[in-house]
Amino acid sequence: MTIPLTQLAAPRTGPARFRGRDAFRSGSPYYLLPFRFERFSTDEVLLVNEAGEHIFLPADDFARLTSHELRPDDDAYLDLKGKHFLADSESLVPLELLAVKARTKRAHLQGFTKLHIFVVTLRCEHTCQYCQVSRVTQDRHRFDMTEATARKAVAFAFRAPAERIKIEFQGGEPLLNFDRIVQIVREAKALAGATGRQVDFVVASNIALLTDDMLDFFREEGVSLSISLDGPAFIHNANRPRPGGNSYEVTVLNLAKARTILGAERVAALMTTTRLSLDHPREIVDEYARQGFHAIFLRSLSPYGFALKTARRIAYETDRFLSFYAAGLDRVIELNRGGYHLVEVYAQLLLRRILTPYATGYVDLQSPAGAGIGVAVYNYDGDVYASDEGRMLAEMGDTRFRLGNLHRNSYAEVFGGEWLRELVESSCIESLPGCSDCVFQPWCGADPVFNYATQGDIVGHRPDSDFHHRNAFVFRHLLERYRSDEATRRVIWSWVRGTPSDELFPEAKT
Amino acid sequence: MPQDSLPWAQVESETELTLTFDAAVYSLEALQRACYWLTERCYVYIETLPDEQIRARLVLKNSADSLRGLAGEFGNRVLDEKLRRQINAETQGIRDVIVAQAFAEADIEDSREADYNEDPEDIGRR
Repeated sequence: MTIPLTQLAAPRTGPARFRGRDAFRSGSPYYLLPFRFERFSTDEVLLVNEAGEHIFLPADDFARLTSHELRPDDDAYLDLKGKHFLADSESLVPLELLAVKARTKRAHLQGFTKLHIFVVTLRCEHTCQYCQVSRVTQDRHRFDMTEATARKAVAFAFRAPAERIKIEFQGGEPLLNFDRIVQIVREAKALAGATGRQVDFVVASNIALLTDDMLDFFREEGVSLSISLDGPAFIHNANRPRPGGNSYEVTVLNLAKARTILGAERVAALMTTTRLSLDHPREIVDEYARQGFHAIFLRSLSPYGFALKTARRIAYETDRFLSFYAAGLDRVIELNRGGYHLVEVYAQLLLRRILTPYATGYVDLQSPAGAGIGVAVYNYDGDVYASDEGRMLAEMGDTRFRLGNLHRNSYAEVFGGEWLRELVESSCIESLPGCSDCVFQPWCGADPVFNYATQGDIVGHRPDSDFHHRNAFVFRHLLERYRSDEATRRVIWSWVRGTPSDELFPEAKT
Repeated sequence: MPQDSLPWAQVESETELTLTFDAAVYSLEALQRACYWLTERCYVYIETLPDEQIRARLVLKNSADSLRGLAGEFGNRVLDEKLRRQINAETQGIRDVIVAQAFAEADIEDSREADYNEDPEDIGRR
């Protein structure tokens, strides 16, 4: 559908139904199409439209654009027209194209909850300081998920209409309740077969307790591993104390075994950032490369382990993290330019949003937020939470994000209740204060659990939001890096396309 | 601040600033939106005056911050917020059409279930 401009409804808001004569002064009047803007520097403005396409304009051109003084022979005119920031009297407004793009960007919302996290035990043999849930080492029956609870949780997961669901095992250390993993995998596969759906499995583990029998089971059932690796030995062992103080050494040993039996593509690694990590971005990135990983996620510090921090302390931590992130990203790009393919996962996610029209669902950064509608957490005791962070808050004594209990509530009560509806309504960034006009909005998302944990309410206050500052910085930084030089652009496109960068830099290969 | 003060800003004390705007030029909404972003650093009070003017009173939370920097930043923010309101007003109709079109899928799927010969929407009888 293309609609002639003359058929478009007049703007519904604003004091006047007709634009002033200034709008037609150039002799070639044009309409503005919806966009948001931010001054990127003193002489440059970033514009992002409803479909997430962006353009940089010199400040002078921007002033002329908005005062309807731009002329068709201006350099910026065709770019703005081609990227749907303006439409002129000769053009048809490709509204359906823009609508399809806007819809495509939100395709991740279809299918409701796709990620189902099963906390099969709270027990763990590690005693990591930042972890709120892994101190429980005794009373096995009290802190393990029972067979009956697991069966109920699988049934709930398959009530979601998604064609393809993902089941992630967490803890504590999930391998401590391996029997439950076996049960859940088998019952989920049976249900998937009966309902014609697909199910993927991943175990998030520190792999210290990994055995050959477990690996054989994972290989036979197609289960992937997401292991914990925080960096080189001095960081990993400091972050992750266990009897013997050898978490790193055990991890490296079992990593090799896992790769041999499962294949390297089935083993990913995830890092937890601590204050110690913040001083060592380069060492952490290099460790991932040394261990043969091709993806690293430079995750921000979790606020949940530092719940008593003051706002000023959080701001300080955020600034330190952003320096860490920028330095880590520099090192990742440097390794790619040297011929080693390594993706920084958060940058890849955001750059795909910035540079492509495709949907990128990510439960921690989407609108509305993924809590409950993108992810659900089934705790060992049958409680259902809207997100993993909501579950962590509960372990700290605040059950605000508990949606219900598998044994006491129906599916409709858990996922159709008023509280989840409020969560969804309060996390649409199109209408949130501070977000509604933000230039990064089409690429960003909301995290009501984070807002609640750090600011006390799910809507949050953007001007002093750690979440806002962090993401605004990263968007800006990624755009700056993308524009910095051709070699960096090649690296970035290799991430966006999923093409190994060692193919893009053959000259760097020896 | 007196040495390099900005003409639209009146310094009330070391931490307090009053800014007055012509309501014919600056909308109350633009001022409110600009004020929102200063609430990290300031306590804000807005009032409309009888002579078509709007006054914003800003009190720094941290006395080490610069009043002049605040006054300058605030002036520019108000201008950008005013421009955002203008762009929004100009493009709201088109934005509504795009969003309605983007989310029309559910209705389309309902209609696909039916045979057009049955005219489930009563289009032929309108």
